[in-house]
Amino acid sequence: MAQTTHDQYPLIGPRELEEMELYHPKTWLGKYVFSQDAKVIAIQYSLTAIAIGVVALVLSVIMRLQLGFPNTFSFIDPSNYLQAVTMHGMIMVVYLLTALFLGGFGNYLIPLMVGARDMVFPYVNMLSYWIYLLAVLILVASFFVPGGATGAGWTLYPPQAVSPGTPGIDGGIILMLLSLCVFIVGFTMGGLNYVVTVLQARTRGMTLMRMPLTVWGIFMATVLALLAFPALLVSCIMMLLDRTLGTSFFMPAMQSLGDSTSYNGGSPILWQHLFWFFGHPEVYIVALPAFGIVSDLVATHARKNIFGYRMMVWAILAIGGLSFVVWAHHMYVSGMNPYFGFFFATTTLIIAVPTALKVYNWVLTLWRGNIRLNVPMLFAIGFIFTFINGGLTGLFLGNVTVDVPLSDTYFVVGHFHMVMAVSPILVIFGAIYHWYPKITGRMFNTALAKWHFWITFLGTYAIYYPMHYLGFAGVPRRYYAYGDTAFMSDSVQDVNVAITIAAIVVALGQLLFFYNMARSYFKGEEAGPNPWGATTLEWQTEHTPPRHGNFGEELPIVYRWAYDYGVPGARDDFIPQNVPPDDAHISHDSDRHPEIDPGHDPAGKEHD
Amino acid sequence: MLAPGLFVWNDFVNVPEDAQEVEAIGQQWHWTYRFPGEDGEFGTVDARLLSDDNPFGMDPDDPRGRDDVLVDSNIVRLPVDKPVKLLLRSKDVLHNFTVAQFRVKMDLVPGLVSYLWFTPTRTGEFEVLCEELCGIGHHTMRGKVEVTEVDEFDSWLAEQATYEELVNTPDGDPEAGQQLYAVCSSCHGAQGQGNKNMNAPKLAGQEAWYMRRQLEYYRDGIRGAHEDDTYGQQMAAMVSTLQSDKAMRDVIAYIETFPDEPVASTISGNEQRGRQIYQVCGACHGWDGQGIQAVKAPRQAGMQDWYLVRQLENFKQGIRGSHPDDMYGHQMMQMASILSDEQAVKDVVAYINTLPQNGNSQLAMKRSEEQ
Repeated sequence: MAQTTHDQYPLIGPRELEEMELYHPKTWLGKYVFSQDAKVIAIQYSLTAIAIGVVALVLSVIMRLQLGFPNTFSFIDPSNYLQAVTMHGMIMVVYLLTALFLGGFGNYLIPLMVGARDMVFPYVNMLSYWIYLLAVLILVASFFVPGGATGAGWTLYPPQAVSPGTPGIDGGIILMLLSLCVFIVGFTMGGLNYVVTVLQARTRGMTLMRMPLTVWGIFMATVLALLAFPALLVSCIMMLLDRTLGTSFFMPAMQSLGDSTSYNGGSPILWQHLFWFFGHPEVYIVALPAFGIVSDLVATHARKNIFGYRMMVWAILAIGGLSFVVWAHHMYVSGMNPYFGFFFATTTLIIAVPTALKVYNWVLTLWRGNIRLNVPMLFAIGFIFTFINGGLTGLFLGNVTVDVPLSDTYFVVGHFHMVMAVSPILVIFGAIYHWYPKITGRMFNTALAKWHFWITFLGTYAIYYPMHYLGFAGVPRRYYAYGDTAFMSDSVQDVNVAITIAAIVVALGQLLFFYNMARSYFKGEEAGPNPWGATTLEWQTEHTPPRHGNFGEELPIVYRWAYDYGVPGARDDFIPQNVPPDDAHISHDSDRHPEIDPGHDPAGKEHD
Repeated sequence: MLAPGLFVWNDFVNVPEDAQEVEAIGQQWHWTYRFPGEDGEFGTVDARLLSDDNPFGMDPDDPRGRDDVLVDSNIVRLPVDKPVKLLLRSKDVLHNFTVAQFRVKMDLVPGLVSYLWFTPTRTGEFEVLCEELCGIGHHTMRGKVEVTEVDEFDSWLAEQATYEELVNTPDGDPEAGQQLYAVCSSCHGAQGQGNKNMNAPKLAGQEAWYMRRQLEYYRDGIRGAHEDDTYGQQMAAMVSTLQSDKAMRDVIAYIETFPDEPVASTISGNEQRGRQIYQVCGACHGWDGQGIQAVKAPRQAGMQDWYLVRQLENFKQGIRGSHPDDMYGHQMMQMASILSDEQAVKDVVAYINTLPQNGNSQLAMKRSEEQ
C-alpha cells in the first residue's frame, strides 16, 4: 500500500457558519421526553420501533404456529391469520426497519459523524418523533376496533382491501391508511432534517467524499424516502376516499359477495403501480443504510480501509437512482401489459451490477485484513453471507420468465426475508452492538452477544432456506392451510414443522439480546470513549455518552477520510478523522512523496 | 442470463394463432368458465349485469353470446396437446389463476381482461390455485383442470349448457313436483319441516339452487358415497326417483311452496365464542346466516341445528366433501377444520340459532331484546 492517506491535502474550508445555538432544556421532561437532542430522539425512535417490532415478531410466531401445526390452535382462524400476515409485514417494513434505520441510526449518527452539534431543525426533529409515535399508536389501535386490524396483506391491494370478505374492512383498513399517512408526515419532517444536516451542517474539512459510508447510506436512503413516500401518501388518501366517500380511484365496476357495488371505472392496477413505486425504493430505503453501516463495521473491525470508497459512494447513488425504475418487477403477473416485462426485467438485472460491486468491495476489504471477530464484525460478515444469498435468488425472480412459476410462492417469501429482513436485521444488531458502548458508555456482555449472533444467524437460515424449497415445490404464500393439495408432497408439511420450530427458537433467542442490553446498561463494564479504535468523529467526542451539543467547546476539524486504518508508519493502527497530519506521527524517514506533507492548517487553528 | 429469459418471455407474451380461447372467471372463492360456442366468439359481458340469475354477467342482447357455453363449476376440461389461451376475468377482487404443473400464472383483475396461454402436454387432473390474496377464503379457492383426449373433451363440452339453453330452461312445475315429493315426505315431512328421528333435515326455506346441487351430488355419487355416511347413503338411494332434470326442478319448485316455520333449538353452547368463530363463516354464508347464492354458500339460519352439527362433524372428518368432484364440499371441509373440537362446533351452531330466522322476524327481534 503505497498510498497512505486518502486525501493528499487537507481540505478545510473557512468557518462560514456561526456556531449553532442550542436550546438546553432545564427540566427532566425537556431533556428526556420532549427532547430536541437528536440523540435522545434517536433512542426514542429506536425503542418505539423495537417495541412495535416485537409485536410483529409475535405475529410471525402466530403465523408459524398455524403453518407448522394446522388445526391445532383454536385461536388462529383464517381471519386473524391474515391479520397477522398483514400487520407483521407492514410493521416490519415501515414501522420497524424504516423508522429504526432513519429515525434511529440517522438521528444518532448523522450529526455526530458529520461533526454537527445537532440536526439543523431540532424542534421539527422532535415533532417528527411524536408524529411517528402517533402513527404507531393509530396502528396499534387498529387491532382493537370492531372487526380488528386489516387482513389485506401488507400490500393492501384494492379492491380486496376495502371489500367484504377481507378482515378489518370496517375500522382496520381506515386506521391502517391513516397511520401510514401520519407516518409519512412525521417521516418527512425527520427526512428533510437529515438531508439538510448532511448537506449544510458538516464540520470544517468534512467534504462529501470524506463522509463515512454510514452517512452516505442513510443520506441516500432519506432522499429515496422523500421521493418515494409521497406516492404512498397519495395512494393511501385515494384509497381512504374510496373506502369512506365511495370514490372509484382503484375500484372498478364489480360485484362483492353477491351484492352489486356502486363503484365504477377505477383501476386496481393503478394502486399497484403507485404502491410499488414507493415499495421498491422502500427496499433500498432499508438496504442503503445497512450497506453504509456494514461498510464501516467491516473497515473498523478488519482494521483496513474500505476497498474502493469512491466506487462505494457512486454505487449507493446508482442504486438509489435505479431503484426508481424497477418497481414493476413486483407486478410481472399482475395483469399489467405483459410487454412491460421486457423493460423491467432489464432494469432489474442492471441494478444487480452496483449491488454486486458493493459485495465485492466488502469482501475485498476483508481480504488480508486484520480481522477481529468482535460481535459487530460477526453480524457484518453474517450480513454479507445473507445478502449474497438473498441477492442471488433475486436474480431468479427479476428474470421475468423464471418469476412466473415462482411468484406468489414461498420462494418469494424466502427471497425477500433473506434480502430485506434478515440482512438489515443483522446489520441493525451489529450496529447496536457496535455503537452501544458510545450510546451507553458501557460494554455489553460479549459471550451473550455471540450466542445471540449464532442463534439468529443459523436460525434464520433454518427458517428461510427451506422456504426456497417450498417455493420450488409450488407452495403458495398467504395460505392459511394447504389441505390435501395433490402436487405438494408430504415433505412440505414436515418442512413447515421444522421452520416453525426454528422460528420459535430464533424468536426466543432475541430475549438474550434484550437481557444483554438491559443488564449491560446498568452493570456493563465502562467502555471508554473509543473501544473499537474507530476513526469516525462520534468516537472522538469529549464525553461518552456524548452530551447535548455532541462535541466540546470547539467542533472537530476533519483532515482525512474515515478509513485510515493500518496506515504504515502511523502511531496507532488507526488515525481518527480529526487528527491533524502532523499529529498522526507518520515517520518522517519514510520515502513518502513531499507533496503529502500537509503543510499548515489553512484555518489557522492549532489542534490538540 | 437476461437475454434467454427475454426470448422465453416473448413466447409467453405472444399467443399462437391457433390457440383456443377459453374464459376463466374468478370470484370469491370459486372459478367458473366460458367457452365461445360454435361461432367462436364470446358474447359481451358487463360487471353491472351480474346477478344471481345471470352469474356470468352476460349481455342478453348480444347474439354472439347466445351460443356461449357456460360452465358453472370449479372443474373444467381441456383437450391435450392443443394450445389454450385463457382469458382471465374477475367478478370482484384480484385473483390469480395458477396451475403449478403448467408453469403459468396470471392475476385476474376486475375491470380488465388479462390472459395467459399454455399447451397441456399430458392428460390428467391438475389443481387450480388462486395465488393472489383474495380474502378469508383465499386458501380454499380451488379448482381443477381435467386434461383429456380431444374426443372426450368434445363430448364433455357438448353436454354443457349454452347461455341460450339456460335462459330458456322452463321453471319447475310444483304440481308435478307434488307427486314426486310423496316419497320424500315420509322422512322430510309433508311440509318439508324435517324429522330428527328419521335423520331428515328441514327442507322448507332452504334455497332452491342449493337443493338442486345436493340432489345432483346424490345422484352422481358425489355425496352419500362415503362408507361412513350412513344417512347420506340412504338419501343417495332415495334420489333414484329423481333422475331427470325436470324431476329435480319440479320437486324443488314444490318444496319452495312450503311455509318456512321456525325451528326449535336443541343445541346449546357458548354463543359468544360461536360469534367469534362465525366471523369467518359469515363471509360466505352471510352475516345473518341467510346464505349467499353468488358465493355458493347455503342458508344456515332457521335450519335445524342438529343437522348443522352433524354436517360440520362430517366435513371435519372428511365424511362429506372429500369426494374429488365435490369442490364446494372440499372448500367447506377446509373451513370446518378451524372448528378445533366438538365444543367449537356446538358454540358456532348455538350462535347460528340466535340469528334471525327467515319469515319470522318477530322471533329475531324478541331474541335481540332478550340479549
